[in-house]
Amino acid sequence: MNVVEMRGIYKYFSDTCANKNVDFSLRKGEIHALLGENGAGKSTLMNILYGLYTYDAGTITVNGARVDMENPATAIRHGIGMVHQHFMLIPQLTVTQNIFLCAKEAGFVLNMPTLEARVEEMNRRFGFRVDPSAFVWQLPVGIQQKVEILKALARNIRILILDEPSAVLTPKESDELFSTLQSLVREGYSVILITHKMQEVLDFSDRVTVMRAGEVVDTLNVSDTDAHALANMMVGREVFLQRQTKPQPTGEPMLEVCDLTVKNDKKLDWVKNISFQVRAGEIVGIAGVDGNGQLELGEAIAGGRTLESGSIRLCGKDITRSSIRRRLDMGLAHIPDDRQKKGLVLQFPIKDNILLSGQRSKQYANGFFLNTKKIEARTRTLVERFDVRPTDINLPAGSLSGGNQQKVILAREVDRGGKVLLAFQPTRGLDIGAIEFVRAKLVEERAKGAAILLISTDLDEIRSLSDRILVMYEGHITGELPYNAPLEQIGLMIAGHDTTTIEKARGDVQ
Amino acid sequence: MNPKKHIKDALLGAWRPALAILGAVLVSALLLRAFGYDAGHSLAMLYDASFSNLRVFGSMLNRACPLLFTGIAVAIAYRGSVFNIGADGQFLAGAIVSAWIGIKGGGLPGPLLILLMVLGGTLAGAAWAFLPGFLKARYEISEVITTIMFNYIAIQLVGYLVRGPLRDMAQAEPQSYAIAAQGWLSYLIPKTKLHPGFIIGCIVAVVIFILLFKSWFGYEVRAVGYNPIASKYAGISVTRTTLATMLLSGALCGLGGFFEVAGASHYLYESLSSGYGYTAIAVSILAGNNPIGVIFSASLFGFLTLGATAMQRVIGVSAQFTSIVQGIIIIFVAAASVKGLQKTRRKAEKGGH
Ligand SMILES: Nc1ncnc2c1ncn2[C@@H]1O[C@H](COP(=O)(O)OP(=O)(O)O)[C@@H](O)[C@H]1O
Ligand SMILES: [Mg+2]
Repeated sequence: MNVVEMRGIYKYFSDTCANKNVDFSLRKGEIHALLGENGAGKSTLMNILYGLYTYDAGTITVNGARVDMENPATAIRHGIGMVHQHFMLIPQLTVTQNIFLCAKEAGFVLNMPTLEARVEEMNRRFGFRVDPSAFVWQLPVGIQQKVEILKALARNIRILILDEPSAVLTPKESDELFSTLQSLVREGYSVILITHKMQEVLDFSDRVTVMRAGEVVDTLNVSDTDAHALANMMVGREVFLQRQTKPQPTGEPMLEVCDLTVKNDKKLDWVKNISFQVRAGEIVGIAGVDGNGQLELGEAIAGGRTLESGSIRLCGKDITRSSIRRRLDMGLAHIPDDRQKKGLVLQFPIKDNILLSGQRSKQYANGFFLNTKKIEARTRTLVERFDVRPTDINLPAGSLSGGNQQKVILAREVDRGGKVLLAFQPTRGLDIGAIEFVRAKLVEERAKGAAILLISTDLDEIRSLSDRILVMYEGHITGELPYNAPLEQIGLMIAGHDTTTIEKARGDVQ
Repeated sequence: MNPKKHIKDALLGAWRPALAILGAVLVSALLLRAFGYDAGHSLAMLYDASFSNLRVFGSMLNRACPLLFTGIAVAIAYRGSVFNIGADGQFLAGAIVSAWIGIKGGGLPGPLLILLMVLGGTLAGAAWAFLPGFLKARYEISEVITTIMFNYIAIQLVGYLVRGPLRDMAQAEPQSYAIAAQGWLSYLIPKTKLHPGFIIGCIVAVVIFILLFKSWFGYEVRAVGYNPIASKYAGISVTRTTLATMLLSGALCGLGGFFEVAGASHYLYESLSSGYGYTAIAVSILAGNNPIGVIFSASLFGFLTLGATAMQRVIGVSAQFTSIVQGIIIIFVAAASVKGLQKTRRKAEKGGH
């Protein structure tokens, strides 16, 4: 039985058609994935269902009855709740206060102990462990998301929409989230999961609706399809995420990290006596679960974090104490882990983001003054070559999708002509088309002889790009593997089992 | 956004404030009538106070001059995300040092004396901004608090000087000796008291505009202002840039202080700044933190203060009421500029994918 039916939905934003004749249905008790690249219109469609956006044509039926979705209150009354991509919690309030914010039954004067008891009760029922009296700002994102879910559940909804819920989560947090969702559907809830991650569709969803450019391509049972077919439907053409690199001889060591120890923000040693080299023409992948020191390692190499001990050499010269400026000048290119925070000035137009770090260079400035003509000409070339869309170089970077933001960073860093490229989670949160593009560029740079250090928590990415894989666990490099090492072996190693125990376990089994 | 577009925006943007002023005048007229004043006469007086002849027009520009300098100073700081509430103190520091040089340097020839006063005033303004700037850049101590504290220090320092070491006993009210006559800036137009401050302020506005939007230095200031972390990873020294922004901002205020002393008052007294540095925040925001826009918003404030005094003096509209009229005009103009902002933002969002 369909709990939600959307028929012939049209939605225009001035002249953009975000949803075009969209049909969508949700069955009771299913996890229904809404799959599509960024900008495909997924969030728009669900915001319409949740009453946040008006729609230009079409009908919505909930539990068999036509509903005029005027606002979220209407949606909630019909049992529809939504957890947005960007959480809508008030950090200064406690978990309980957030959950019962505006909830009518909470009454005018809040009786905190009663409400907290109700949160505890929900905790028990849904298998959460959220401290009702904790302040939201104290909580990691994974828990904040649970608060969002509890907030929806507290309003007695039966249909839960989640907009790219795993985008902000660590792999472990994602696993928890999905087991929560599975237990919800067992209780008869229905879930719509917006995502552009194939694996979430294949592993956790019952049906999938693929959207592209505002239209529905198809709705399928997940058991009747596979990753390849879905990827092609999403992008509209053949995609290549498989390994494209061919073995090639490597050159001199360009990045040499020696006995490096770095502290984290809590002043604990978080990178411990790490040593490795990256040679010209190779990609070295650092695999590991988030939080095992990769951030600190990356920042130490980029120059944003001071070292406790050890040394770093770039192109044969010691940069242990060099400023970031000096590292960039010596040939370091840097794709930071957090593109919006560390890689871009979102308020600046694309061209000023291409300029970033080159503003004093001869290429873009005549002495004290910027050469607008040169900046614009170069930006146009790069925007074309890196396929940044839209192509208007005066648009603020903040208005671009994640993939296009990443392309702007990539264009700038590659164009500076660096010999060493530090790529930190270069495709996190991107859609398939952009992932394919970014990876192809990295491979291209490798072919040109760049030394690339790839830090990623995505094992598929590590395996499809690296020439060698280093495993990082609790601040140590716990092993080196060839690129074609079996996935399960890497998986065990990043979880802290060293290879010898694995061998031993194998031995025991045999 | 390219600079030409900025200028065009600033000019095109002018009709909006114009409409806002019209609206404000209508509302004010209604209010004046409701409270039994002759609305037509009052508003005519507001207008006459600045535009009836060249002499009052000159006074209006002189009134706008300190706001122009402090307004530009606040605008550039704001671009670098430094909230300089200390413009008042930096303005006074500039005035103090200019006056002190002007008083003590009686033996120097005019051009040299003026040059020394300019340098002294500018440096004093920058020096007054240094410590707050340093504390912000190096230790992330809020400049909002430190600059306000420095305002108090400057005000008290003026009080001390004009009651103590620099006091001219021939005057009934506490004020300093006048600066040496060759240090007085000449009036630009006969029969007016228009000193060169406003004109030079306009030039400074254009220079700062070019600095902000056409030079790598201004680029770095704005980059740090928007996103210090990304700036850091792009190799920009956030500490140095923040400090430079603050020093520049302070220097501009100090220069304003120089013009007030050498061009307008010729001596130091306690209420030399009637809170110019604070009004400058409104002036800057009204101009969208665009230095060229500050020329217009500073003039608007000059016009309003002068007009308010006239309404009060001639018609007897109470001082509070003239403040109300001022407030109405400012709210209208501010509302108009916020509307403008929203439009740009929507444009940005529309481009997104
Ligand atoms: N509030 C909005 N104003 C204007 N255009 C929008 C707005 N929200 C989305 N769009 C446009 O609609 C299209 C679909 O966006 P969206 O639904 O967010 O895609 P998805 O969630 O699949 O990434 C995009 O082209 C986007 O630029
Ligand atoms: Mg979306």
